[in-house]
Amino acid sequence: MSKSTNNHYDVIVIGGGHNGLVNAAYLGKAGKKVLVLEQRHTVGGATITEEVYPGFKFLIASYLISLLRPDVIQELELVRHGLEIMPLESTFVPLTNGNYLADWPDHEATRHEIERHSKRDAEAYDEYARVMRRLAIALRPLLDMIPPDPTSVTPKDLETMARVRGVLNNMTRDDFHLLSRLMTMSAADFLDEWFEGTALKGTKCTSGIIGTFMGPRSPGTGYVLLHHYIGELDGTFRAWGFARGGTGALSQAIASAAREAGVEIKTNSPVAHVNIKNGEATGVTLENGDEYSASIVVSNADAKRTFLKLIEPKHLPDDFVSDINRFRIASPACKVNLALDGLPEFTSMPKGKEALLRGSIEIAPSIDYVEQAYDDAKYGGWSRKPFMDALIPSLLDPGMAPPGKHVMSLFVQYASSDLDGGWNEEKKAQFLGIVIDTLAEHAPNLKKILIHKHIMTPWDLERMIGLTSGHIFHGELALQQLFFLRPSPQWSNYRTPIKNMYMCGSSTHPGGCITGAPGRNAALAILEDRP
Amino acid sequence: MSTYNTIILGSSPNALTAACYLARSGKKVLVLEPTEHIGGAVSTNQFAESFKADTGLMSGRLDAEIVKDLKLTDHGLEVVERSALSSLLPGGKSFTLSCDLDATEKVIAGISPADAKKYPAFMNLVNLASNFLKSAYSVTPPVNHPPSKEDVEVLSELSAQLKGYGRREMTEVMRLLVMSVRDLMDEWFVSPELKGLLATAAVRGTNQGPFAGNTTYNLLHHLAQGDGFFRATAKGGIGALCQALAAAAKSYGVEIRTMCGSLSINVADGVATGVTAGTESIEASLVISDYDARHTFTHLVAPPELEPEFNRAVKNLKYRGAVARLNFALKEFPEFAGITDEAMKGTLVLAPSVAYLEKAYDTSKRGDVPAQPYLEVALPTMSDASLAPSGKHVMSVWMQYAPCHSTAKTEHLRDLVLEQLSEFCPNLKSLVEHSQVFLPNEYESQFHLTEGNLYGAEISLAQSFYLRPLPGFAQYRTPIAQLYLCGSATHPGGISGLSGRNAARELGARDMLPA
Amino acid sequence: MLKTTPLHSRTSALMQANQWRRWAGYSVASSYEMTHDREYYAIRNACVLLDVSPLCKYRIKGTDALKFLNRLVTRDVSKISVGGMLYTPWCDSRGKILDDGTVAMLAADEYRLTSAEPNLRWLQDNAVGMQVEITDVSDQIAAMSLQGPKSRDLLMTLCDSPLGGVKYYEFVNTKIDGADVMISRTGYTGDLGFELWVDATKAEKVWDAVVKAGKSFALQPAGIWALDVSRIEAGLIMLDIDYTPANKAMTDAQTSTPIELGLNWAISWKKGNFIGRKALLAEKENGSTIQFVGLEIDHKEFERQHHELGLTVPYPFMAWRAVIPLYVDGSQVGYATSGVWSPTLKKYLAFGHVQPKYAQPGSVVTIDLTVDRFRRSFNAEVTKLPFFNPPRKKDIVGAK
Repeated sequence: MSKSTNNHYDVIVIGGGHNGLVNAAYLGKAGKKVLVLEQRHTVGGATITEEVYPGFKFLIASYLISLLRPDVIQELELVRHGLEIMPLESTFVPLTNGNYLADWPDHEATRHEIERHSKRDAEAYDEYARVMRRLAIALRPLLDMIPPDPTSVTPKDLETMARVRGVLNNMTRDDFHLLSRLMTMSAADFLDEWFEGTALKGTKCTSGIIGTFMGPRSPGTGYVLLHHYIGELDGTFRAWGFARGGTGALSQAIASAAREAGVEIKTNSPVAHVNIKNGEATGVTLENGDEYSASIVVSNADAKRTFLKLIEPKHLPDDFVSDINRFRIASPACKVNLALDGLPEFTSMPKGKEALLRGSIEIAPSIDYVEQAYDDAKYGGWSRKPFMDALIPSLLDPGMAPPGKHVMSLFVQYASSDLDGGWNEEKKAQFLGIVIDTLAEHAPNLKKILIHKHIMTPWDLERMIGLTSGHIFHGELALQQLFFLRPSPQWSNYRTPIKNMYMCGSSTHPGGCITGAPGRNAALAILEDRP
Repeated sequence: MSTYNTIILGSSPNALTAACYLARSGKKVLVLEPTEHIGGAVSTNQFAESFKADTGLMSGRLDAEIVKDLKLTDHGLEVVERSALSSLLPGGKSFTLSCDLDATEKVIAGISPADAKKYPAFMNLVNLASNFLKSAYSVTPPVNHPPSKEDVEVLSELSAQLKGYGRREMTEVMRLLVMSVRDLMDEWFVSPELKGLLATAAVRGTNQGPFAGNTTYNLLHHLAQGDGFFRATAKGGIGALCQALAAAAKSYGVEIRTMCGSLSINVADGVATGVTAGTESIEASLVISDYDARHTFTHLVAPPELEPEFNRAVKNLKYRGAVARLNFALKEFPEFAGITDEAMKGTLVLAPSVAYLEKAYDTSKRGDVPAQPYLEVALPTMSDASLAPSGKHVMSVWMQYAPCHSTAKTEHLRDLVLEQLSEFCPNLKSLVEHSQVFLPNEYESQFHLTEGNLYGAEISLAQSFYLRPLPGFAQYRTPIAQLYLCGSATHPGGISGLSGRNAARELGARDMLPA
Repeated sequence: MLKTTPLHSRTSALMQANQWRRWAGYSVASSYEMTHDREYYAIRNACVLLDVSPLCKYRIKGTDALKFLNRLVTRDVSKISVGGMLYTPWCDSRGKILDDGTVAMLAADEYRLTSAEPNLRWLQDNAVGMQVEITDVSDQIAAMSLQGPKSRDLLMTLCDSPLGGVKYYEFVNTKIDGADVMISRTGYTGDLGFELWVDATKAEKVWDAVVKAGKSFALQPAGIWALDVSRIEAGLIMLDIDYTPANKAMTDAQTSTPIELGLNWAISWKKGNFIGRKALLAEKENGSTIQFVGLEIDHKEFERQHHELGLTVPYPFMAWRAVIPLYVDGSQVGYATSGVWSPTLKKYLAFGHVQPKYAQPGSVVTIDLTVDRFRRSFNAEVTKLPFFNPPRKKDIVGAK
């Protein structure tokens, strides 16, 4: 029996993930009466920090911030709302032969490290970084743009197309050609053109496969590599930051900005479906039967969940339903968090360089290693030796663990969301064991200091946060579903075939990572329609 | 010492097409071929007493306009269609697709009724896309950035064609270009067998698996060249394409020399002045290389003649030949269980699923030959008895993957192929009288195909259009003045002759059909 | 984390002021004493010893070594014979400068190239198709620079070689205290001076011998600050300061060509093709958009304005390295990149890059400098380079 609530809202945002909150905050600031409905007890979606084990704060899903658009930080005044971002300065790559590779914030320190492996690479590295920065600068305007529809001849689409051409035409011919190649190449091929050192290529290729169910040798990963270079922190490209208090603190900061703008946020309010009358969205019905009406409904959920679960297909054109059905969303990514009684001791970490523990620790000793990890998983399995991107947040923010203790966050690939026979608790434990064993090969004291371990598989990310297939980017960053094709041709402008219904999640341009861009761009689109 | 206006190094269909058009517009053209075969690797060789088989590619089709324009039928060209495509399945089973849409729908319905229903729409879409490519393939790609006024004209014409398809179709075609063929197959079909068979065209000739992004482009590329699912060759074998073109070329006054000795290009102050063939130095005001860019700019021209950035780009080109070719002389007709005679005139494919192809590639990307290879088989003697003594047959096999740097021995490949095919033709081994095996390194050493790639450079989106053969040099010109490229290495690639025709047009050949 | 040079044991023992700086990833002295005044004056009046080991050094050997180098650099390397050296820039194919350094012909088919930045990858990539072996010998060879009017006299007490006859940009192989040393008449001060190239393991020994002999010649160890003053007086450009190497530039606008940097004299048009020739030839024909010039800033006015405010004049004894816009009639016509007070010439010198129409000696541009808390415009007159060029730089004494 459904009960209708009296309240009518200008806008209801389904889902309080970071993009939902950004969207709500912008709309609130524009004077709209906005309600955010979050299924869980806390906002943030996959951008959360949770005390899974007493005293230890775990980054159970997302863990780093870099792609957060500077505009979002400024316009929502997130710093005033409590956001503190610390740069993650170094990368440490333990190798299997006892050696290691390190990337320091200092240019010459990094050069010396790379020189130990290859003098040529040390020279190429500078040039490589500059080229990637140049391409990132060139493409940056596209991130903050509502994608045009190239098939449309409306003045607005034509004008946006002209802007896109302008962005590309601004590049030099050499850069444009390089961009064309990078977009269509594999990360491995691209790196092979620059470097000879296996370790350097190993760590660099991981930017091409993060959250992506492809191996570094697959064309298409070149784009993902670039996608991760577009991240910037205080103007520094490819800089990763850690939010004090974890990524959850970022969600809280955005929520605070939203509330200040008059946005109402209701947690523990899972939406059952979007109410649609005569092809127009009129509001939502919660799982408990409560109904809320609104002039505009925005979904922060991924495209599949939005259009295949929250809306009945009969309200949608067939082509659109088939577009959403074919949207690729198989995920290879897991998150592991460890509560530790001390610090892991990496056998390959030289004395005097323990500061490297404060940075990113990557288990990616070579392209072959990462490619093998992909091969193990791509037919419905998991990596026998996974790629991992680890971080010890308690070294950056001591508040993350009790004194003397530590938390370690591990981003792990690959474990297929479409696991043969499906996921269950036993398989979770098995894969978690593999992760611990792999890490312990590099840090043998790990098992001794291990207090608690926790894994979020794609299965868990789906069950707990509602990400279809547990996909952290709400859908693969494959070329066929980017920009004006994300999530569907003709519907890449945050609008949907249903009147008054919008999308603001990572299934839309520019895709995943904590960028806030879909949320912001969607707000711009909504405000274009309803100033 | 003799003087020619134009010298073309190499004699593939592209070289000969360019030769025809240039000679027809009044140039004095000399074609130099170091091997004994016109066409180089695009030839048909006698590999055993009275047995003839193709050396490299075992199917291919000249562009229809070129055939018409150069009156190649009058010069002896007889196209042989391979209008059936059969999939060999585990347990000796099979099914056969043909150009006949209705018949094919029925065949597919036997595997999956849902797939049968979708098949015509699928073919329609890929044909739309490949037609678009065909148009793009007949023009010279723009090299300016931002595009010049002329470039914009070329591009607007192409985009007008795309827009003409309709809004939905336009974006569908654009998507196809960047998709993995695995994704494409998953979007359309459910039957693993059908998906495997149709996916082969997307990995044919490349060292790439069907899971890889952009592989659908490769499929469309082959389709646009008339060498997609249903293939063709010529009476007398693939070499007959070159024979017909050579005859046409001679009729226009082109001189063709085979076994001309090893080649190099003479360069003075950044200008090509002629060619050295063996010990003979021949002057020419125009030199055109039919060879791939890596061979041209590391062996035919000395790298120090070129700018360092250009040399780096040449070094960065991807070749990665991964095809082994095997020819068998059979004393009798090989009975493949369940394959009709009509189907035997077509192509038989061993690729029962997309995962099968990907697994074969998994081994290959590590440099080894897979135990379960992807095979294509043709029996050219079914349509052309002249290729073998009466009652006997020639069987040509295309085998992937044989990565160019693998250490596999020819005997191993021969045994592996025969073993695989024996499942479908149990007495096959006993029929073999002779065999011939080409590995990528042999194509490199005998025909100067870098890393044994039969297409002049890896077919991939990253090496197509304005990026082919090298970024900034898509208009058949090179950094050396008066030196041009016309081979499969250039846009669009392949042996349709379009690369050669486009190059000739850039060189100002008159009397050509409009692009 | 910074590397130390083979002479670190000696330089660190001399260091009084803890004034170290980075140079190509190495720690080197900015100044040994609390100020660099004495170190500078020693360059012009006595002699100094500088540790210049961080220079990159490459051995180029093989039958195509000359062909390789002549294609690589802008000058004609065939003009030197064994025992000869030359200074040269080199460019990418757009004619944009990548680096500059010296080439020494060590033996038939064997050369040594020095550079400011690592160049191994560029060298190797350009050696494709040539019979040439390129070895990075940066770490094997230590380098010290002995500069100043007394440098020759000092060295002649240490070795038997007739250094008096060694011409500017020539070198001899000799021994100092039993160690093999290559002594070249080169330097970065525009003065009489030599550079000593020695196996890294023998570097300390040679340093000690020079220092010991130096007692009779008022030898002073010197750091980069003093060197910087003298190199500006000598009109010598510095990578990263006066130009951005093309492979480090983010945009085309940041790059420079040798012609723009006043290095026309270091381009050989007649030697045949070299990397960047086509582009440079076009620039030579069509003209450059910017030109490197020497500037003399109106120091009198600088003084006057300070006095007006009741202040003493802050002489820029230490060279500044900054991009400062240059104007004519209020519109920007270029920028300055280095500047310093020349204690020898008693002038405020700077390097500028200005539009060609303002590049003639005598042209006046203005530069903004701060006077106490205020921004002020000062005239700067374009001057021929080098500012300081004593005859002793190239003189010869006695017979060779």
